[in-house]
Amino acid sequence: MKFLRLEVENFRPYVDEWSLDFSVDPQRPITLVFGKNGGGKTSLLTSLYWCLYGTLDLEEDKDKQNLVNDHAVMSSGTKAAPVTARVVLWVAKEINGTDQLFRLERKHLGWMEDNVHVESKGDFTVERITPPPSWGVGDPPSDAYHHSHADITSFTKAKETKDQVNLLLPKVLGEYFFYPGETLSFPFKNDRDSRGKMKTFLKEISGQNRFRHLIDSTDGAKQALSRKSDAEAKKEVATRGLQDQIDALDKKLEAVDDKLTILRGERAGVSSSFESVDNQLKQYEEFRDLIDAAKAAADEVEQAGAAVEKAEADLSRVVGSAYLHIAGSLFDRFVEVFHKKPYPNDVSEGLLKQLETSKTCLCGEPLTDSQLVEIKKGRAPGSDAVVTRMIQLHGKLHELRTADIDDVDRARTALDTAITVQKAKLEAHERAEQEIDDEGGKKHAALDAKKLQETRATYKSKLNEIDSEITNLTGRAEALKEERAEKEAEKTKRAPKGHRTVHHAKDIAVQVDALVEAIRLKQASVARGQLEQLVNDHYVVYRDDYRIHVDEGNDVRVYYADRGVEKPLADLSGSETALLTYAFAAAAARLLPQYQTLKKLLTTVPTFKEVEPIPLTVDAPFSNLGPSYKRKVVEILSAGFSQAVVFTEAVDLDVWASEANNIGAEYVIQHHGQLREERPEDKEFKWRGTTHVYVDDSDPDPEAKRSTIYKIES
Amino acid sequence: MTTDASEPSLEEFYGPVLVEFPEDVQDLVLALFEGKYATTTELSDAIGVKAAKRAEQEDDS
Repeated sequence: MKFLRLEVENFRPYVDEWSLDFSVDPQRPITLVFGKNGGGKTSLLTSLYWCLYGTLDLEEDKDKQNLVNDHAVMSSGTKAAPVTARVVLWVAKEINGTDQLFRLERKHLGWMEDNVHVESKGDFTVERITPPPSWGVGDPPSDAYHHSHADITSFTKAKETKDQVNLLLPKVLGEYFFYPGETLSFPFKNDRDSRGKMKTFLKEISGQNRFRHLIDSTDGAKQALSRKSDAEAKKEVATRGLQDQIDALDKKLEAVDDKLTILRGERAGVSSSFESVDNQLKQYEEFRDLIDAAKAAADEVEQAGAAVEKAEADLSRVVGSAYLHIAGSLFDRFVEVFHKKPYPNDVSEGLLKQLETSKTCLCGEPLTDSQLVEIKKGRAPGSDAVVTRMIQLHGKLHELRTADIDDVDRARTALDTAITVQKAKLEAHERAEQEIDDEGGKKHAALDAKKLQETRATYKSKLNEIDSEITNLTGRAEALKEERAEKEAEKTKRAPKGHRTVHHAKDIAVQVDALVEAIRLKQASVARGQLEQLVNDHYVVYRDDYRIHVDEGNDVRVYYADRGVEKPLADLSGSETALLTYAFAAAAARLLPQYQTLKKLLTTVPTFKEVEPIPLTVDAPFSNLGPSYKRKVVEILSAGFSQAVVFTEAVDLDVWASEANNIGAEYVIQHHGQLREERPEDKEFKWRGTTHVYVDDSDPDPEAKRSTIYKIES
Repeated sequence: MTTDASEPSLEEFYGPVLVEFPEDVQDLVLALFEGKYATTTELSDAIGVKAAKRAEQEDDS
């Protein structure tokens, strides 16, 4: 469906007749209308909606709004000759493979009575035109209308005109494709109302509301025919007894069903308690794993500590050896001087003192008291006990000298390694402890595992008990149903023809009801799936790692794609919500024809063919969005809808200039009269190299509002 | 969204709900979707016509 042309006359700020041709180029589907705040942008958007549906639902104080231009009414409107506000909308839609043209004309009348501006409803006419073959979408619609071969059907009755409008865009969906900007919450704000409206929108687009009257109708027929069939059966002697038996069986079935309902409710309660306890236990067990891990980490730390100690001892041992190795040459000299002759007492005395103080021999090994006494004994002049000792030492030194000095390096490296290992183990232990804290381990540590296990077992056995009772009852219900079916069959067999017909009718009604319900459920789930896919594949890239999901209750859920974790919708920013809404609208616009051709569900047509997107009309589409979001919105507008009609202020010019290749037509609204909030920066703007004056301040009557529309030629 | 070869068939889309019901029931539902029966009574009457046909067929056989 595409809007072709809009004509307004004496409608709100527009005096006389003005028109606007929408872009129909699929490559450049955006029609831009520039205008200052209060200059008549929203009035044009309203005129489109009003022409289709005859209401001002998009506006806040809809009851207080005049539709006929006040200036025109004051200058010439009388009761005898009222001023006519008129909006004409030309629309093209492909129906059964051919382009059909629609001309919608809605009128409203206004006049002065006792100095008061009074208004009343005018006519609404829809003309459906089968244009001559020479005409195509993009040619002026009036050419087709005035062509001698045009086939025109005119509709004026309320029901007829409504049917024709519903062919184009049903009102119940229409409101979602006209965004009047900031005055209403949907779709730009992330508040409860907007989310509620989104939910209703999804419910509508998934086809669920559409089934309401069908279901009422089939359910009504089912019940009426069922009652009739039962009444017939009671009247007949042949079947009365059987009917009584069936009634008795029905009562039993009802009792079983009631009991089943109660049991299922009870089961849900017990099941939820069981799950709660089970979860607590699972958490406890998870926590226990954490504790075990921490304990193992502590053991490893201890082992690493022992390894460090050993490495230290090894190092000091080899360092000691190395020390003696170096000192060895000194002792060689010492022995060379003294070992063959008695040595002076003072030397002996000095060595002895040193030995007594350190109680350690020069090789580093401890001396026992008896060894010391031994040494002292040999202290007599001429005795060379000390020298003997030193000779022994020399032997030891010689041995040590053969040891490699590189041992020191190896020992040091080993110690370093041991220390590194210990450090790592300490860190691991710390992490394990931290994890316990993070998991709220202290809380779970307080849980009594044994008691929980007992409670869980109790619930489990209760659940098993209920389940077995449910199985029994279900079996009983099945048996009753079987018995009932047998009686029904017998009753039908015995019944006279009249009653058999009613019985068949009841049976058919039940099947119709079941089929409608099955289709409704399928339709809803398929539509939800397709919406999701369209949104995720084509439109939602506002953050690449988000995916959306629509659940059975039509609640939109947003997930981080990589983790599968849900992000609460309330946490989305206003900008993200706005993009999400555009994305849904664009996806829905593509699903709409499918929504309108449900009968295909019952035919053998293998695929959906009539998929034709519809237009979006939007005021101030960017409303406080950041630059990257603005570009994303333009992308969605140009790719997601058959057309986008955008009413915008000059402040967004830079964005539109950079997106010029998407734009097929531009208009500027020139305003005559007093506007609120004069802003010098809005007075003029540059567009494709031409400067347009934005506000004309030479109006003789500043109080009266009048606007004109001019096409900007590129 | 244009039709292409990868698009699933109706049956893949909607499952077997369509084939489980007799043809006359499907006809009724189709007419219902098309808005042929505005009221419950109209629908009941239409069902009555189908039912009479079924009873006749039973007698014939």
